[in-house]
Amino acid sequence: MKTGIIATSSHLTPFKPDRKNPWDVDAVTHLLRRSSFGHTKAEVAQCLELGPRASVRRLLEGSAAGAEEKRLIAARQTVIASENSETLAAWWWMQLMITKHPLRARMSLFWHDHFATGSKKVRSTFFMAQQLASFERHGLGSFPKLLHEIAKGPAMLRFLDNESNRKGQANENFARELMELFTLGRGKYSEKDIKEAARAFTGWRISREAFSFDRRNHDKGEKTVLGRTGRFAGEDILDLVLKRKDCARFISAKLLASFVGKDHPKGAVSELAAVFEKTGGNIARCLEALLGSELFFRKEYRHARIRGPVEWILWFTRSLEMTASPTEMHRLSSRMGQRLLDPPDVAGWDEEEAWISSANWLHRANLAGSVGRDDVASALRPALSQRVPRAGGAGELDFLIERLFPEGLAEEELVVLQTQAHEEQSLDRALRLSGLLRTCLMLPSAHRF
Amino acid sequence: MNRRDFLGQGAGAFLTLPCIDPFFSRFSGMSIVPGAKERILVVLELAGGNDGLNTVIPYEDPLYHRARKVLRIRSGQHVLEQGLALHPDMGKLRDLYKEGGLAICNGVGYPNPDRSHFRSMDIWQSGRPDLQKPETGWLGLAAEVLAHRGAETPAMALASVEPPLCLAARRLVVPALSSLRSYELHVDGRVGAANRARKRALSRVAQEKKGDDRIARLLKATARQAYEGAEKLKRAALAYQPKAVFPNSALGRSFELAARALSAPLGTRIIHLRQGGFDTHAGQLRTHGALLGDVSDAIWAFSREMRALKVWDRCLVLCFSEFGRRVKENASRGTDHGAAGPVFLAGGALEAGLHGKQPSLSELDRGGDLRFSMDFRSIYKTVLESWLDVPAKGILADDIKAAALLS
Repeated sequence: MKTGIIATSSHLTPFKPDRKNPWDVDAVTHLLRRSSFGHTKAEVAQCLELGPRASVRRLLEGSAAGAEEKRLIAARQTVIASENSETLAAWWWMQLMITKHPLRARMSLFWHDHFATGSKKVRSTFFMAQQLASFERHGLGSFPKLLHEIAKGPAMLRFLDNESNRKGQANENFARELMELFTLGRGKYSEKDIKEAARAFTGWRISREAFSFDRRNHDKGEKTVLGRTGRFAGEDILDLVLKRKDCARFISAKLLASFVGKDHPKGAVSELAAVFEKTGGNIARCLEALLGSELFFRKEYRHARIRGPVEWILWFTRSLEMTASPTEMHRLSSRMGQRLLDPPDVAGWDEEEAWISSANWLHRANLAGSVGRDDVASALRPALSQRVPRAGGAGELDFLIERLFPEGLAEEELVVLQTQAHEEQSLDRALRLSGLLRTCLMLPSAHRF
Repeated sequence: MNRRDFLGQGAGAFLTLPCIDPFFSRFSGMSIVPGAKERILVVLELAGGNDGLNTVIPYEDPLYHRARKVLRIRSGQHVLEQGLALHPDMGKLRDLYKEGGLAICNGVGYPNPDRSHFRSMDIWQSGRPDLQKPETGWLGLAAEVLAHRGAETPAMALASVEPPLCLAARRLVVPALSSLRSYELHVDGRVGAANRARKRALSRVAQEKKGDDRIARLLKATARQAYEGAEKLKRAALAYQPKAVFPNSALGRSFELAARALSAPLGTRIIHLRQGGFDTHAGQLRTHGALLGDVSDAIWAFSREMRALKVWDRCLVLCFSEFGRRVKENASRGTDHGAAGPVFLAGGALEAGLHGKQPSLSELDRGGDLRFSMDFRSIYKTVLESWLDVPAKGILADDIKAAALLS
């Protein structure tokens, strides 16, 4: 990365398109890929018209739920009543595929990875659904509110054993991950801080499927945490960590890694942390500054991240404006290493390069081969042969490329696809389309964003 | 150069150093053919922090009974030596111990133990407590040396879909798979000519081009490895007939898959397996017993398999966890994160018996945890230099001394 003049300038200066870095399809798809999983033809056209600032505002506002999404929201109670976390995961998959507020959905996924809680240990569809609702409610709002709600949510109380934390023999599980993974990051606290903070959370319980406080099991004594001493309760510890500069920096660095990439410049962390502190931890305001910044649109960060299974599937379903069986997508994504509602551990998923192994690659290639077919459970809906206009070999390919890669393809990739289209000209149309889609989805550029 | 440096290099550097792509190199051999010489290492990671104190139990120590009112195990059912017994569910490993096929290193750890799963696992997987963010693993670096000597696929992860840090190398891409069925390319199967055209298209877009950046190279190398390697592995592994009966558990299946994979002509020397669930903060007693029983039965079955093939003297199983657990139990009938713990080694060519020193329960550290007496890196050093014939220099710190564990 170049240093010098750029390194000292302000990274979060609003992006001003110019001749060298114009507001074109490439810039627009970069914004949409990073903030909305995919990019429909209408979204691309709208952003081109609105310009960077208004496009970011538009993304932060989202659009009202359509009829299908409303039906899905109405079905929530039935899903919870099923007491089956697989059903809830499928429900969430469907929402991710159809929602009209993709940035909010993307943030729910971000927070699910951040506050990674697994349904296998939580063993309650209701608790997991409640946690998802918290992500949706506060995921683009106040981080302090989100942290309080998640900490006291039954899913977290159970997942990190805070529900059995009692005076005299404090369970350190939650206190440790609160500091290490949720707010401060390694090295920003001591082992003693954890032990003392754990005492403050004694007495936290789940009763009648909600948070409750068991006074008799709470350690009312004095605790010293992060240099402050007092008869702290659990809520006080949350407020204490929220006030730390390290918390603003930790969350800012995570947002930067997710939206810009893990090689973001160090100086950007302090700039974003300043926005975080100034707005009381308002995530929408942080994202407004970040997504509209000169930093975000730098060419070196485009296509620099590797899509995880969920991001990859949502990219092509949303860009093609199609859906696929959510249970099948849940099953296949799990096989590729990303099982929604069951992160591998409390640190969430390892991202970027870790998604790419030979075994994962085969899963992707196999999924890419099946979604375009019309005779398998994982098929896209409506059938690909109905979605793609009848326009002969070249026209069909143009349709797929325009939807999936509006910013264009490299010459050699184009040649491979054209050769395949030509070779398979005589095949049955549905079969030919599924083959073309597979190659499109397995181009290396389909796995970066 | 670490993993990030590797990926961060410009195209210029790549042109001079071709990416090692294990499925495309020259030499290969079946690792478990009688008469072959290559020694095999299977590393089993017990993730979550295994409670060492309830694995190798000081059942006569009153301090043990005092600290573990609920979780203590009274019986010395599988006594190893005076005062120490294996967990009651580990009968099979006791048999292996009696047979001379098991070495137990007690009190293994490292200075200034970290109680974070992630940090401590990073330390164990890299062998480098001195690095804040290790990007390569001790086994990945060893595999890279073996690849340079000509091994086609020196290492594999067989219980993960993502390669673990311990197998991360500088340029070698180590395959990770969790089952054979998960490792093949399906074609649509309706028209032969179309299938061939599709496979051709997939492999054409995986060919490296001048000007490809680091991510394109990674994606393409992975794709080529996936398409070609899958066929080789599958052919051999499916034809393999296991001789022993493996436990019908995820871990049992992992060990069976290890035997199958070692029969493929890929020159594999290092296999990584993983068993999770050891983070027993609550309700430990039953969970922990079931986990240990599974570990014990699976290692035993693998030893029978390798004995039947007459290659057990070329096998070494190394079983570790990122830390032990707190000596004093918590109020949730569980234990919190601790420090030192035992490491198990199984194989046909080792100094069987107990190594290291059982940590004292009266001299705990400030956190109430066991103090280590043997540095895990001394075990790694022995395994690298005396088992895999790979110099530890450049993988571990220079001042680490080897432990006498092999015969």
